[in-house]
Amino acid sequence: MPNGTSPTSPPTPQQIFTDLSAALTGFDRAELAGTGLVDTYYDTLLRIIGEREAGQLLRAAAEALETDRRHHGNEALEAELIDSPRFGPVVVSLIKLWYLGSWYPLSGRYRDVSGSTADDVEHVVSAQGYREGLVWAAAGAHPMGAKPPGFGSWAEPPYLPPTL
Amino acid sequence: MTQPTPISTLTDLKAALQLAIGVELSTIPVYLTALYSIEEGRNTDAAQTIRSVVMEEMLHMTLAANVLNALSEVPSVEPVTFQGHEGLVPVPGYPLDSPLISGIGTLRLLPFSPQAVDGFVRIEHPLHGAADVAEIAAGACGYRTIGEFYGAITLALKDPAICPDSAFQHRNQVPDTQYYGGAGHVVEVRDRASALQAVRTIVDEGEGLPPEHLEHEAKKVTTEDRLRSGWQMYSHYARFRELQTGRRFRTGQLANEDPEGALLLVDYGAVHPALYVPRNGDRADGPEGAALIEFDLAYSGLVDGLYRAFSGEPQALPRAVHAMHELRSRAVALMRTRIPADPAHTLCPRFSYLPLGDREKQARQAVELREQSR
Repeated sequence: MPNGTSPTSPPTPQQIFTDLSAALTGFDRAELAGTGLVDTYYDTLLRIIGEREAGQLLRAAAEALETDRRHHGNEALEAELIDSPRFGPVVVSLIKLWYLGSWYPLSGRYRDVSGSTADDVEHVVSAQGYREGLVWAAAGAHPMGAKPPGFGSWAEPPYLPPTL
Repeated sequence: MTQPTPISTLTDLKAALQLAIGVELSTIPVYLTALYSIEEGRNTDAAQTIRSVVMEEMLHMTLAANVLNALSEVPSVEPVTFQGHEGLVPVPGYPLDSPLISGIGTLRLLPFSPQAVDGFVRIEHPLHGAADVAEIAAGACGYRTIGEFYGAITLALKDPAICPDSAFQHRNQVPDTQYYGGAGHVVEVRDRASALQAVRTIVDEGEGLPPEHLEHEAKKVTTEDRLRSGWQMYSHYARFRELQTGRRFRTGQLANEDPEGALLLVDYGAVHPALYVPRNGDRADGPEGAALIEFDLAYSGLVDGLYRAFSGEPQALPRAVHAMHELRSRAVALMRTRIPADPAHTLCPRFSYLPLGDREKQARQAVELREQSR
């Protein structure tokens, strides 16, 4: 079971957020936990769109993820979240957040319908967010100015983990 | 009182040095586990202290390898026969009960905690915490303390009947230019005198400290141990005693006194609650299990790289240093990751050296575990 939950207990909002993030980013829950940012980004989501809207988004995410799990696909996630005018812009910003460590503001069209909050502006969420951005792992690189890989390491090719 | 078993043949001396490389290596994961468990930016003095000791343990490992190389023997991870005991493995696994040195106790991988620091002090205490060496039961190989072990190596190196002058050659030496960021210097071994100097550096800085040094000033610093940054390195024991008591030594205090200087601000709460689970423990499956395996693979590759660097492949050393940086990122990531079945704890790197023949299978298993969770 995801996050080690028993079949009887429903996943917590944080667990749904982790599973959603894993589905959106292509990094698994251990890789996401390794950044140390799951809680920070969960809080960021709630800060930007509010708890009430986040509750709706996570409910839709839990249902879509469950459907996709049963069908071994990702159609429900695409249809119910990514292509949804209500949730799509939010999850796209969430993907950017995970990869780049910055929050990118929601689109004007989204705001016209759903309103906006003062925090919904472009900002670096935390210094750790920059260092742990998934973009570096995806590129087999390291964040410039952080996590130094050692003198002369620039002479070595980027490292990408093996896949099946 | 029993005397430590002398080393009486060149073959045994070489075996002892193979094991000495392993003794120095064996402390590094113990210290690194505590160091990497400290939350980002917290406990900076404690982290600096632990890190400084780790740097010197790496130096000691290099020094032991240089002495061994000068005796025309290639450092190797293969088991050795020493004092008639077969199958002694240089590269440690944890928890480690040293087959070589009986007094050192069990080495465990623990996050930064009072228990962990007590263990550090025990490792670095000249008698490993005992009031008298006679209190320590002699182990299979006859050495009760690291000091006795290096004492036996020193006596053998001094004895021309065991290693004649012709036994020393300047070969496969790691030069001092390769070492940075820690106290002390790499000694290139070309003859008996430089071999003895290399062993003396290991003993002076570290665990092999003679017991009478406890009566010396705690903060006595040799010129060799003064870093360019001005940071002064005293013995590992004194540094860890400061951590243990949460206070600095004052100038002029003796090493066996309680430190009476400024408080050293230690916060055991600002630590990831990492829990070491042995490799066949069943608690980490899924992507968490994959992350643990990947760490072991990276660590095994790093250890191999070091041994290559110690075997006349100087270009392997910078690459091994890059691997150390990578290992740090991996260790920190593990320590942030909760164990699914035990969310009060996070993963702890196992520092498990995987046999070469097993690595492909392990790598495949890690990829499968990750793929299953996607």
